[in-house]
Amino acid sequence: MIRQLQFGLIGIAALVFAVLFVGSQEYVTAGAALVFGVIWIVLEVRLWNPLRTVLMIAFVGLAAANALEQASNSLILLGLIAALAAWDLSRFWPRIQEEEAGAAKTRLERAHLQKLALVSGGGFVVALIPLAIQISIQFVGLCLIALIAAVLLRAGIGSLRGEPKPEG
Amino acid sequence: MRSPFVVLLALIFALVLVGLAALNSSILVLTIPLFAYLLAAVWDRPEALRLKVTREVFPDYAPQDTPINIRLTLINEGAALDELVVRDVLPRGVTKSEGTTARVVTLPEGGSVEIEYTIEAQRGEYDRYEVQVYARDFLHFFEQAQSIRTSARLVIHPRYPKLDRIRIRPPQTRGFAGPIAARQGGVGIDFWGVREYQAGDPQRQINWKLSARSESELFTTVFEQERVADVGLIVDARERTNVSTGTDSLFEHSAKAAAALAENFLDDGNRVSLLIYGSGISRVFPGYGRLQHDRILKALARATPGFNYALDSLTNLPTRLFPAKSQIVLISALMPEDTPVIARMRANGYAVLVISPDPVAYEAALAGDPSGAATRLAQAERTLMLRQLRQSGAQVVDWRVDQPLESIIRQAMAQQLRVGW
Repeated sequence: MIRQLQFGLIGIAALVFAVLFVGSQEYVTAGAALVFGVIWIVLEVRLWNPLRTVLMIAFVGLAAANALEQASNSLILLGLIAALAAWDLSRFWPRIQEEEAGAAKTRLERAHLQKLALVSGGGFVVALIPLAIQISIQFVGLCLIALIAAVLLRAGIGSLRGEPKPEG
Repeated sequence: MRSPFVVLLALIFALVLVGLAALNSSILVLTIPLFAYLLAAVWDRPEALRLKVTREVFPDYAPQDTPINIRLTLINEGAALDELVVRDVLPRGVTKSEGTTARVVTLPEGGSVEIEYTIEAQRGEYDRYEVQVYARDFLHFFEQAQSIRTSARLVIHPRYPKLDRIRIRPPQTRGFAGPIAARQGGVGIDFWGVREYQAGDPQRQINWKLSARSESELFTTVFEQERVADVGLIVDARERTNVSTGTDSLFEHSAKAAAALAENFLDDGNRVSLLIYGSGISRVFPGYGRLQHDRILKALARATPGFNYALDSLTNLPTRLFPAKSQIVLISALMPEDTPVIARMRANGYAVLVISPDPVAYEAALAGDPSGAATRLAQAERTLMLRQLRQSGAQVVDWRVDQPLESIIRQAMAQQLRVGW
Protein backbone atom coordinates (compact mmCIF):
# COMPACT_ATOMS: atom_id res chain seq x y z
CA MET A 1 0.00 0.00 0.00
CA ILE A 2 2.84 2.36 0.91
CA ARG A 3 4.46 1.81 -2.48
CA GLN A 4 1.30 2.47 -4.48
CA LEU A 5 0.63 5.60 -2.46
CA GLN A 6 4.19 6.75 -2.97
CA PHE A 7 4.03 6.29 -6.76
CA GLY A 8 0.64 8.03 -6.79
CA LEU A 9 2.01 11.02 -4.88
CA ILE A 10 5.02 11.34 -7.19
CA GLY A 11 2.64 11.17 -10.15
CA ILE A 12 0.37 13.84 -8.67
CA ALA A 13 3.29 16.18 -7.96
CA ALA A 14 4.76 15.75 -11.45
CA LEU A 15 1.38 16.16 -13.15
CA VAL A 16 0.36 19.21 -11.12
CA PHE A 17 3.59 21.06 -11.88
CA ALA A 18 3.53 19.99 -15.52
CA VAL A 19 -0.04 21.22 -15.92
CA LEU A 20 0.79 24.54 -14.23
CA PHE A 21 3.79 25.07 -16.52
CA VAL A 22 1.76 24.12 -19.56
CA GLY A 23 -0.77 26.74 -18.41
CA SER A 24 1.96 29.35 -18.41
CA GLN A 25 3.21 27.99 -21.77
CA GLU A 26 6.56 26.85 -20.41
CA TYR A 27 6.61 23.50 -22.11
CA VAL A 28 10.27 22.70 -21.45
CA THR A 29 9.84 23.14 -17.70
CA ALA A 30 6.61 21.14 -17.86
CA GLY A 31 8.54 18.34 -19.56
CA ALA A 32 11.24 18.63 -16.92
CA ALA A 33 8.60 18.15 -14.18
CA LEU A 34 7.38 14.97 -15.88
CA VAL A 35 10.94 13.72 -16.39
CA PHE A 36 11.72 14.29 -12.70
CA GLY A 37 8.62 12.30 -11.80
CA VAL A 38 9.54 9.43 -14.11
CA ILE A 39 13.12 9.32 -12.83
CA TRP A 40 11.88 9.26 -9.24
CA ILE A 41 9.45 6.41 -9.93
CA VAL A 42 12.05 4.39 -11.85
CA LEU A 43 14.58 4.76 -9.05
CA GLU A 44 11.98 3.76 -6.47
CA VAL A 45 10.99 0.69 -8.49
CA ARG A 46 14.65 -0.35 -8.57
CA LEU A 47 14.77 0.03 -4.75
CA TRP A 48 17.85 2.20 -5.07
CA ASN A 49 17.28 5.87 -4.80
CA PRO A 50 20.15 8.05 -3.64
CA LEU A 51 18.52 11.00 -5.46
CA ARG A 52 15.28 11.16 -3.50
CA THR A 53 16.26 14.31 -1.61
CA VAL A 54 17.61 15.95 -4.77
CA LEU A 55 14.35 15.19 -6.57
CA MET A 56 12.30 16.55 -3.69
CA ILE A 57 14.38 19.77 -3.77
CA ALA A 58 13.81 19.92 -7.53
CA PHE A 59 10.05 19.75 -6.99
CA VAL A 60 10.27 22.51 -4.35
CA GLY A 61 12.19 24.54 -6.93
CA LEU A 62 9.43 23.90 -9.48
CA ALA A 63 6.86 25.04 -6.91
CA ALA A 64 8.81 28.26 -6.32
CA ALA A 65 9.12 28.81 -10.07
CA ASN A 66 5.36 28.35 -10.46
CA ALA A 67 4.75 30.80 -7.61
CA LEU A 68 6.89 33.36 -9.43
CA GLU A 69 4.74 32.75 -12.51
CA GLN A 70 1.68 33.68 -10.42
CA ALA A 71 0.11 30.24 -10.95
CA SER A 72 -2.71 28.86 -8.81
CA ASN A 73 -1.43 28.82 -5.22
CA SER A 74 -3.65 25.97 -4.07
CA LEU A 75 -2.42 23.76 -6.92
CA ILE A 76 1.19 24.66 -6.19
CA LEU A 77 0.64 23.75 -2.54
CA LEU A 78 -0.97 20.47 -3.59
CA GLY A 79 2.02 19.60 -5.77
CA LEU A 80 4.48 20.62 -3.06
CA ILE A 81 2.71 18.59 -0.36
CA ALA A 82 2.49 15.56 -2.67
CA ALA A 83 6.24 15.82 -3.34
CA LEU A 84 7.01 16.15 0.39
CA ALA A 85 4.81 13.18 1.29
CA ALA A 86 6.36 11.09 -1.53
CA TRP A 87 9.82 12.01 -0.22
CA ASP A 88 8.84 10.93 3.29
CA LEU A 89 7.41 7.60 2.07
CA SER A 90 10.48 7.09 -0.07
CA ARG A 91 12.55 7.32 3.14
CA PHE A 92 10.07 5.30 5.18
CA TRP A 93 9.85 2.28 2.86
CA PRO A 94 13.52 1.13 3.12
CA ARG A 95 13.21 1.27 6.90
CA ILE A 96 10.34 -1.20 7.00
CA GLN A 97 10.77 -3.34 3.89
CA GLU A 98 12.74 -6.02 5.78
CA GLU A 99 9.96 -6.31 8.33
CA GLU A 100 7.79 -9.41 7.97
CA ALA A 101 4.23 -8.78 6.85
CA GLY A 102 1.86 -9.00 9.76
CA ALA A 103 -0.27 -7.11 12.21
CA ALA A 104 2.70 -5.19 13.64
CA LYS A 105 3.82 -3.98 10.23
CA THR A 106 0.29 -2.98 9.26
CA ARG A 107 -0.03 -1.07 12.55
CA LEU A 108 3.27 0.71 11.90
CA GLU A 109 2.28 1.63 8.34
CA ARG A 110 -1.16 2.83 9.42
CA ALA A 111 0.26 4.95 12.25
CA HIS A 112 2.79 6.50 9.90
CA LEU A 113 0.23 7.26 7.20
CA GLN A 114 -2.19 8.76 9.71
CA LYS A 115 0.44 11.12 11.07
CA LEU A 116 1.68 11.97 7.59
CA ALA A 117 -1.87 12.75 6.45
CA LEU A 118 -2.42 14.91 9.51
CA VAL A 119 0.80 16.90 8.99
CA SER A 120 0.31 17.24 5.22
CA GLY A 121 -3.36 18.15 5.52
CA GLY A 122 -2.65 20.55 8.37
CA GLY A 123 0.18 22.18 6.43
CA PHE A 124 -2.06 22.53 3.37
CA VAL A 125 -4.94 24.08 5.29
CA VAL A 126 -2.70 26.44 7.28
CA ALA A 127 -0.94 27.50 4.06
CA LEU A 128 -4.29 28.32 2.44
CA ILE A 129 -5.21 30.78 5.21
CA PRO A 130 -2.64 33.50 4.36
CA LEU A 131 -3.71 33.30 0.72
CA ALA A 132 -7.11 34.59 1.77
CA ILE A 133 -5.68 37.41 3.86
CA GLN A 134 -4.12 40.52 2.39
CA ILE A 135 -1.76 42.36 4.75
CA SER A 136 0.37 45.26 3.78
CA ILE A 137 3.66 45.57 5.64
CA GLN A 138 6.45 48.02 5.07
CA PHE A 139 9.84 46.73 4.12
CA VAL A 140 11.36 47.66 7.50
CA GLY A 141 8.55 45.81 9.30
CA LEU A 142 9.09 42.79 7.12
CA CYS A 143 12.81 42.82 7.87
CA LEU A 144 12.02 43.06 11.59
CA ILE A 145 9.67 40.07 11.38
CA ALA A 146 12.31 38.14 9.43
CA LEU A 147 14.93 39.01 12.08
CA ILE A 148 12.66 37.89 14.92
CA ALA A 149 11.88 34.66 13.02
CA ALA A 150 15.60 34.03 12.46
CA VAL A 151 16.39 34.61 16.17
CA LEU A 152 13.56 32.31 17.25
CA LEU A 153 14.66 29.68 14.80
CA ARG A 154 18.26 29.91 16.03
CA ALA A 155 17.06 29.54 19.63
CA GLY A 156 14.91 26.57 18.63
CA ILE A 157 17.79 24.79 16.91
CA GLY A 158 20.06 25.51 19.86
CA SER A 159 17.49 24.00 22.18
CA LEU A 160 17.18 20.90 19.99
CA ARG A 161 20.95 20.45 19.98
CA GLY A 162 21.00 20.78 23.76
CA GLU A 163 23.24 23.88 23.71
CA PRO A 164 23.42 25.86 27.00
CA LYS A 165 21.61 29.16 27.07
CA PRO A 166 23.89 32.23 26.94
CA GLU A 167 24.37 33.72 30.40
CA GLY A 168 23.18 37.21 31.29
CA MET B 1 19.07 15.89 14.44
CA ARG B 2 19.56 14.22 11.08
CA SER B 3 20.41 15.57 7.64
CA PRO B 4 16.79 15.59 6.29
CA PHE B 5 15.90 18.05 9.05
CA VAL B 6 18.75 20.32 7.94
CA VAL B 7 17.68 19.97 4.29
CA LEU B 8 14.15 21.15 5.13
CA LEU B 9 15.51 23.99 7.21
CA ALA B 10 17.79 25.08 4.36
CA LEU B 11 14.84 24.92 1.94
CA ILE B 12 12.77 27.12 4.23
CA PHE B 13 15.58 29.67 4.43
CA ALA B 14 16.06 29.58 0.68
CA LEU B 15 12.34 30.08 0.03
CA VAL B 16 12.18 32.94 2.54
CA LEU B 17 15.15 34.62 0.88
CA VAL B 18 13.71 34.17 -2.62
CA GLY B 19 10.29 35.37 -1.42
CA LEU B 20 11.80 38.49 0.15
CA ALA B 21 14.00 39.18 -2.83
CA ALA B 22 11.13 38.77 -5.27
CA LEU B 23 8.64 40.41 -2.91
CA ASN B 24 6.38 37.43 -3.61
CA SER B 25 4.13 36.28 -0.76
CA SER B 26 3.19 33.05 -2.58
CA ILE B 27 6.76 31.81 -2.20
CA LEU B 28 6.69 32.61 1.51
CA VAL B 29 3.47 30.59 1.77
CA LEU B 30 5.32 27.58 0.38
CA THR B 31 7.40 27.45 3.55
CA ILE B 32 4.34 26.65 5.66
CA PRO B 33 4.04 22.93 4.73
CA LEU B 34 7.78 22.58 5.29
CA PHE B 35 7.40 24.22 8.68
CA ALA B 36 4.57 21.85 9.47
CA TYR B 37 6.92 18.91 8.85
CA LEU B 38 9.62 20.38 11.06
CA LEU B 39 7.22 21.15 13.88
CA ALA B 40 5.66 17.69 13.71
CA ALA B 41 9.11 16.11 13.94
CA VAL B 42 10.12 18.30 16.87
CA TRP B 43 6.80 17.61 18.61
CA ASP B 44 7.14 13.85 18.18
CA ARG B 45 10.85 13.50 18.78
CA PRO B 46 11.66 10.62 21.14
CA GLU B 47 12.51 11.41 24.72
CA ALA B 48 14.67 9.29 27.02
CA LEU B 49 13.96 5.62 26.41
CA ARG B 50 12.56 3.51 29.21
CA LEU B 51 12.48 -0.05 27.98
CA LYS B 52 12.42 -3.24 29.98
CA VAL B 53 14.15 -6.06 28.15
CA THR B 54 13.89 -9.74 29.03
CA ARG B 55 15.52 -12.61 27.22
CA GLU B 56 14.56 -16.27 27.30
CA VAL B 57 16.90 -18.93 25.98
CA PHE B 58 15.70 -22.48 25.45
CA PRO B 59 17.41 -24.85 25.94
CA ASP B 60 20.07 -23.03 27.94
CA TYR B 61 22.37 -26.05 28.10
CA ALA B 62 22.88 -28.07 24.94
CA PRO B 63 25.48 -29.70 22.72
CA GLN B 64 27.00 -27.86 19.78
CA ASP B 65 24.83 -27.43 16.66
CA THR B 66 21.58 -27.77 18.61
CA PRO B 67 18.93 -25.26 17.53
CA ILE B 68 18.45 -22.79 20.38
CA ASN B 69 15.34 -20.63 20.58
CA ILE B 70 15.78 -17.05 21.70
CA ARG B 71 12.85 -14.90 22.71
CA LEU B 72 13.46 -11.23 23.40
CA THR B 73 10.68 -9.15 24.91
CA LEU B 74 10.77 -5.36 25.16
CA ILE B 75 8.20 -3.50 27.22
CA ASN B 76 7.88 0.23 26.78
CA GLU B 77 7.70 1.81 30.23
CA GLY B 78 7.99 5.33 28.88
CA ALA B 79 6.08 7.50 26.41
CA ALA B 80 4.72 6.10 23.14
CA LEU B 81 7.32 5.63 20.43
CA ASP B 82 6.45 6.34 16.78
CA GLU B 83 9.08 4.09 15.38
CA LEU B 84 11.31 1.76 17.32
CA VAL B 85 14.06 -0.28 15.71
CA VAL B 86 15.19 -3.23 17.82
CA ARG B 87 18.32 -5.05 16.76
CA ASP B 88 19.63 -8.00 18.74
CA VAL B 89 23.40 -8.29 18.35
CA LEU B 90 24.49 -11.91 18.20
CA PRO B 91 27.55 -12.75 20.28
CA ARG B 92 30.63 -14.03 18.49
CA GLY B 93 30.33 -17.73 17.72
CA VAL B 94 26.56 -17.60 17.30
CA THR B 95 24.80 -17.79 13.95
CA LYS B 96 21.13 -17.23 13.25
CA SER B 97 19.44 -20.15 11.54
CA GLU B 98 15.79 -19.04 11.53
CA GLY B 99 13.73 -15.96 12.24
CA THR B 100 14.80 -12.37 12.43
CA THR B 101 16.97 -10.53 14.93
CA ALA B 102 15.69 -7.07 14.05
CA ARG B 103 12.25 -5.46 14.09
CA VAL B 104 10.76 -2.09 13.35
CA VAL B 105 7.60 -1.38 15.29
CA THR B 106 5.47 1.37 16.66
CA LEU B 107 5.19 1.00 20.41
CA PRO B 108 2.47 2.63 22.51
CA GLU B 109 2.98 3.41 26.17
CA GLY B 110 3.04 0.09 28.04
CA GLY B 111 3.16 -1.83 24.76
CA SER B 112 5.53 -4.70 24.12
CA VAL B 113 7.33 -6.28 21.21
CA GLU B 114 8.70 -9.81 20.90
CA ILE B 115 11.54 -11.01 18.74
CA GLU B 116 11.86 -14.75 18.34
CA TYR B 117 14.54 -16.56 16.39
CA THR B 118 16.65 -19.69 16.35
CA ILE B 119 20.41 -19.80 16.61
CA GLU B 120 23.20 -22.32 16.43
CA ALA B 121 26.19 -21.69 18.61
CA GLN B 122 29.75 -22.86 18.80
CA ARG B 123 31.09 -24.39 21.99
CA GLY B 124 31.22 -21.82 24.74
CA GLU B 125 29.42 -20.05 27.53
CA TYR B 126 27.36 -17.05 26.52
CA ASP B 127 26.03 -14.74 29.18
CA ARG B 128 26.29 -11.22 27.79
CA TYR B 129 24.10 -10.03 24.98
CA GLU B 130 23.53 -6.62 23.54
CA VAL B 131 20.29 -5.21 22.21
CA GLN B 132 20.50 -2.03 20.19
CA VAL B 133 17.39 0.11 20.08
CA TYR B 134 16.76 3.23 18.05
CA ALA B 135 13.69 5.35 18.73
CA ARG B 136 12.70 7.80 16.01
CA ASP B 137 10.01 10.32 15.30
CA PHE B 138 7.74 9.22 12.47
CA LEU B 139 9.55 11.44 9.96
CA HIS B 140 12.94 10.05 11.05
CA PHE B 141 14.36 13.51 11.69
CA PHE B 142 15.46 12.67 15.22
CA GLU B 143 16.87 9.46 16.62
CA GLN B 144 17.57 8.28 20.13
CA ALA B 145 19.91 5.28 20.32
CA GLN B 146 20.45 3.01 23.28
CA SER B 147 22.35 -0.17 23.89
CA ILE B 148 20.82 -2.53 26.46
CA ARG B 149 22.66 -5.49 27.93
CA THR B 150 20.91 -8.66 28.99
CA SER B 151 22.45 -11.63 30.73
CA ALA B 152 20.62 -14.88 30.06
CA ARG B 153 23.00 -17.80 30.35
CA LEU B 154 23.62 -20.25 27.53
CA VAL B 155 26.12 -23.09 27.79
CA ILE B 156 27.05 -24.96 24.64
CA HIS B 157 29.17 -27.99 25.32
CA PRO B 158 31.06 -29.98 22.69
CA ARG B 159 29.16 -32.58 20.70
CA TYR B 160 31.14 -35.76 21.22
CA PRO B 161 31.09 -39.31 19.89
CA LYS B 162 30.07 -42.32 21.96
CA LEU B 163 33.10 -44.50 22.64
CA ASP B 164 33.41 -48.21 23.27
CA ARG B 165 34.64 -49.15 26.71
CA ILE B 166 38.27 -48.22 27.18
CA ARG B 167 40.31 -50.64 29.18
CA ILE B 168 42.61 -48.93 31.63
CA ARG B 169 44.76 -50.53 34.25
CA PRO B 170 45.95 -48.04 36.84
CA PRO B 171 48.29 -49.31 39.57
CA GLN B 172 45.76 -48.42 42.25
CA THR B 173 41.98 -48.72 42.28
CA ARG B 174 39.29 -47.62 44.66
CA GLY B 175 37.33 -49.83 47.04
CA PHE B 176 34.12 -50.12 45.04
CA ALA B 177 33.32 -52.79 42.50
CA GLY B 178 33.79 -51.77 38.92
CA PRO B 179 35.16 -52.90 35.58
CA ILE B 180 38.89 -52.31 36.13
CA ALA B 181 41.21 -55.15 37.03
CA ALA B 182 42.52 -54.28 40.47
CA ARG B 183 45.72 -56.40 40.51
CA GLN B 184 44.37 -58.12 43.64
CA GLY B 185 42.87 -61.50 44.16
CA GLY B 186 39.27 -61.77 45.22
CA VAL B 187 35.87 -61.92 43.63
CA GLY B 188 35.95 -61.39 39.91
CA ILE B 189 35.86 -63.07 36.51
CA ASP B 190 39.46 -63.28 35.29
CA PHE B 191 41.76 -65.93 36.70
CA TRP B 192 44.27 -64.50 39.19
CA GLY B 193 45.87 -67.60 40.82
CA VAL B 194 45.39 -70.46 43.25
CA ARG B 195 46.02 -70.74 46.96
CA GLU B 196 45.47 -73.29 49.69
CA TYR B 197 41.88 -73.77 50.72
CA GLN B 198 40.85 -71.73 53.73
CA ALA B 199 37.83 -72.38 55.84
CA GLY B 200 34.91 -70.37 54.50
CA ASP B 201 35.96 -70.47 50.85
CA PRO B 202 32.96 -71.22 48.63
CA GLN B 203 32.88 -74.80 47.47
CA ARG B 204 32.50 -73.85 43.82
CA GLN B 205 35.84 -72.01 43.92
CA ILE B 206 37.75 -75.14 44.90
CA ASN B 207 40.15 -76.05 42.11
CA TRP B 208 39.33 -79.77 41.94
CA LYS B 209 41.88 -80.64 39.26
CA LEU B 210 44.78 -79.27 41.27
CA SER B 211 43.38 -80.65 44.53
CA ALA B 212 43.17 -84.14 42.95
CA ARG B 213 46.90 -84.08 42.29
CA SER B 214 47.59 -83.41 45.96
CA GLU B 215 47.29 -86.10 48.62
CA SER B 216 45.78 -84.14 51.45
CA GLU B 217 45.35 -80.48 50.47
CA LEU B 218 42.60 -78.59 48.77
CA PHE B 219 43.23 -75.53 46.56
CA THR B 220 41.01 -72.60 45.85
CA THR B 221 40.95 -70.65 42.59
CA VAL B 222 41.32 -66.90 43.12
CA PHE B 223 39.97 -64.37 40.64
CA GLU B 224 41.17 -60.87 40.00
CA GLN B 225 39.09 -58.24 41.69
CA GLU B 226 37.43 -55.63 39.50
CA ARG B 227 37.02 -52.16 40.89
CA VAL B 228 36.56 -48.58 39.92
CA ALA B 229 39.50 -46.22 39.61
CA ASP B 230 40.41 -42.59 39.81
CA VAL B 231 40.78 -41.07 36.37
CA GLY B 232 42.20 -37.61 35.86
CA LEU B 233 41.61 -35.98 32.51
CA ILE B 234 44.07 -33.28 31.54
CA VAL B 235 43.21 -31.11 28.56
CA ASP B 236 46.08 -29.14 27.10
CA ALA B 237 44.75 -25.66 26.28
CA ARG B 238 48.08 -23.99 25.64
CA GLU B 239 47.91 -21.70 22.65
CA ARG B 240 51.24 -22.98 21.33
CA THR B 241 49.92 -26.52 20.96
CA ASN B 242 46.79 -25.35 19.19
CA VAL B 243 46.34 -24.99 15.45
CA SER B 244 43.34 -22.98 14.44
CA THR B 245 41.57 -22.02 11.27
CA GLY B 246 38.77 -19.53 10.89
CA THR B 247 36.09 -22.00 11.88
CA ASP B 248 37.85 -24.93 13.48
CA SER B 249 40.81 -25.63 15.72
CA LEU B 250 42.70 -28.59 17.04
CA PHE B 251 41.59 -27.63 20.54
CA GLU B 252 37.95 -28.17 19.56
CA HIS B 253 38.82 -31.79 18.80
CA SER B 254 40.61 -32.08 22.15
CA ALA B 255 37.52 -30.76 23.93
CA LYS B 256 35.30 -33.26 22.11
CA ALA B 257 37.67 -36.10 22.98
CA ALA B 258 37.73 -35.03 26.64
CA ALA B 259 33.93 -34.98 26.77
CA ALA B 260 33.68 -38.43 25.18
CA LEU B 261 36.32 -39.90 27.48
CA ALA B 262 34.71 -38.37 30.56
CA GLU B 263 31.39 -39.95 29.69
CA ASN B 264 33.05 -43.28 28.98
CA PHE B 265 34.93 -43.42 32.28
CA LEU B 266 31.99 -42.13 34.31
CA ASP B 267 29.64 -44.69 32.76
CA ASP B 268 32.00 -47.38 34.01
CA GLY B 269 31.55 -46.04 37.54
CA ASN B 270 34.97 -44.44 37.84
CA ARG B 271 35.71 -41.27 39.75
CA VAL B 272 36.74 -38.71 37.17
CA SER B 273 38.27 -35.27 37.51
CA LEU B 274 39.29 -32.71 34.91
CA LEU B 275 42.11 -30.23 34.66
CA ILE B 276 42.34 -27.69 31.85
CA TYR B 277 45.85 -26.37 31.45
CA GLY B 278 46.22 -23.25 29.32
CA SER B 279 45.96 -19.57 30.09
CA GLY B 280 45.21 -20.70 33.63
CA ILE B 281 44.41 -23.88 35.44
CA SER B 282 40.76 -24.71 35.77
CA ARG B 283 39.71 -27.81 37.58
CA VAL B 284 36.69 -30.00 38.19
CA PHE B 285 37.16 -31.94 41.41
CA PRO B 286 36.79 -35.74 41.32
CA GLY B 287 33.26 -37.06 41.27
CA TYR B 288 30.96 -39.74 39.99
CA GLY B 289 27.94 -40.00 37.79
CA ARG B 290 25.80 -37.86 35.52
CA LEU B 291 26.17 -34.72 37.60
CA GLN B 292 29.93 -34.91 37.37
CA HIS B 293 29.63 -35.37 33.63
CA ASP B 294 27.59 -32.16 33.42
CA ARG B 295 30.20 -30.34 35.51
CA ILE B 296 32.93 -31.53 33.16
CA LEU B 297 30.94 -30.55 30.08
CA LYS B 298 30.34 -27.07 31.48
CA ALA B 299 34.06 -26.67 32.22
CA LEU B 300 34.86 -27.83 28.69
CA ALA B 301 32.29 -25.40 27.29
CA ARG B 302 34.10 -22.53 29.01
CA ALA B 303 37.59 -23.66 28.03
CA THR B 304 39.51 -21.62 25.49
CA PRO B 305 43.11 -21.94 24.39
CA GLY B 306 45.30 -19.26 25.89
CA PHE B 307 48.80 -18.21 26.74
CA ASN B 308 50.44 -17.94 30.13
CA TYR B 309 54.19 -17.59 30.68
CA ALA B 310 54.06 -19.72 33.82
CA LEU B 311 52.16 -22.50 32.09
CA ASP B 312 54.07 -22.41 28.83
CA SER B 313 55.39 -25.92 29.36
CA LEU B 314 53.86 -28.91 31.13
CA THR B 315 56.60 -28.66 33.79
CA ASN B 316 54.22 -26.88 36.14
CA LEU B 317 51.41 -29.35 35.60
CA PRO B 318 50.05 -29.98 39.11
CA THR B 319 49.90 -33.76 38.93
CA ARG B 320 49.75 -33.87 42.73
CA LEU B 321 46.14 -32.90 42.42
CA PHE B 322 45.44 -36.42 41.20
CA PRO B 323 45.40 -39.36 43.62
CA ALA B 324 48.64 -41.34 43.74
CA LYS B 325 48.94 -44.19 41.23
CA SER B 326 45.74 -43.22 39.52
CA GLN B 327 45.03 -43.14 35.80
CA ILE B 328 45.89 -39.90 34.04
CA VAL B 329 44.57 -39.25 30.55
CA LEU B 330 46.39 -36.38 28.87
CA ILE B 331 44.82 -34.92 25.75
CA SER B 332 47.47 -32.85 24.10
CA ALA B 333 49.00 -32.17 20.71
CA LEU B 334 52.31 -32.34 22.62
CA MET B 335 55.53 -30.38 22.26
CA PRO B 336 58.96 -32.10 22.20
CA GLU B 337 59.80 -30.74 25.68
CA ASP B 338 56.69 -32.40 27.14
CA THR B 339 58.22 -35.89 26.92
CA PRO B 340 60.30 -35.70 30.16
CA VAL B 341 57.27 -34.39 32.07
CA ILE B 342 55.17 -37.36 31.02
CA ALA B 343 58.07 -39.74 31.79
CA ARG B 344 58.26 -38.20 35.26
CA MET B 345 54.54 -38.79 35.77
CA ARG B 346 55.11 -42.43 34.92
CA ALA B 347 58.05 -42.53 37.33
CA ASN B 348 55.81 -41.10 40.04
CA GLY B 349 53.56 -44.11 39.65
CA TYR B 350 50.72 -42.77 37.53
CA ALA B 351 49.32 -44.75 34.63
CA VAL B 352 49.41 -42.32 31.76
CA LEU B 353 47.34 -42.49 28.60
CA VAL B 354 48.16 -39.79 26.07
CA ILE B 355 45.62 -38.99 23.38
CA SER B 356 47.46 -36.76 20.99
CA PRO B 357 45.64 -34.98 18.15
CA ASP B 358 48.16 -34.80 15.34
CA PRO B 359 48.98 -31.11 14.66
CA VAL B 360 51.30 -31.93 11.77
CA ALA B 361 48.67 -33.79 9.74
CA TYR B 362 46.06 -31.17 10.65
CA GLU B 363 48.21 -28.30 9.49
CA ALA B 364 49.38 -30.18 6.38
CA ALA B 365 45.76 -30.85 5.41
CA LEU B 366 45.02 -27.14 5.83
CA ALA B 367 48.02 -26.19 3.72
CA GLY B 368 47.04 -28.83 1.14
CA ASP B 369 50.54 -30.29 1.17
CA PRO B 370 50.43 -33.60 3.07
CA SER B 371 53.59 -35.01 1.49
CA GLY B 372 55.86 -31.98 1.40
CA ALA B 373 59.39 -32.18 2.77
CA ALA B 374 58.57 -29.95 5.74
CA THR B 375 55.56 -32.08 6.63
CA ARG B 376 57.57 -35.28 6.42
CA LEU B 377 60.31 -33.84 8.63
CA ALA B 378 57.78 -32.64 11.22
CA GLN B 379 56.04 -36.01 11.10
CA ALA B 380 59.34 -37.83 11.66
CA GLU B 381 60.06 -35.60 14.65
CA ARG B 382 56.62 -36.34 16.06
CA THR B 383 56.96 -40.08 15.51
CA LEU B 384 60.25 -40.01 17.40
CA MET B 385 58.63 -38.07 20.25
CA LEU B 386 55.72 -40.52 20.51
CA ARG B 387 58.15 -43.46 20.47
CA GLN B 388 60.08 -41.91 23.38
CA LEU B 389 56.78 -41.55 25.22
CA ARG B 390 55.89 -45.20 24.65
CA GLN B 391 59.35 -46.20 25.85
CA SER B 392 58.75 -44.27 29.05
CA GLY B 393 55.74 -46.49 29.69
CA ALA B 394 52.95 -44.16 28.67
CA GLN B 395 50.12 -45.41 26.49
CA VAL B 396 49.96 -43.23 23.40
CA VAL B 397 47.14 -42.80 20.91
CA ASP B 398 48.24 -40.84 17.85
CA TRP B 399 45.03 -39.27 16.56
CA ARG B 400 44.61 -37.76 13.14
CA VAL B 401 41.56 -35.68 13.80
CA ASP B 402 40.05 -36.30 10.38
CA GLN B 403 39.53 -39.89 11.56
CA PRO B 404 36.93 -40.73 14.20
CA LEU B 405 38.32 -40.97 17.71
CA GLU B 406 36.35 -44.13 18.30
CA SER B 407 38.08 -46.10 15.55
CA ILE B 408 41.50 -44.75 16.53
CA ILE B 409 41.01 -45.87 20.14
CA ARG B 410 39.64 -49.23 18.97
CA GLN B 411 42.78 -49.75 16.87
CA ALA B 412 44.96 -48.76 19.79
CA MET B 413 43.08 -51.20 22.07
CA ALA B 414 43.60 -54.00 19.55
CA GLN B 415 47.28 -53.16 19.43
CA GLN B 416 47.32 -53.21 23.21
CA LEU B 417 45.92 -56.73 23.22
CA ARG B 418 48.55 -57.87 20.69
CA VAL B 419 51.73 -56.39 22.11
CA GLY B 420 50.74 -54.67 25.33
CA TRP B 421 51.08 -50.93 25.67
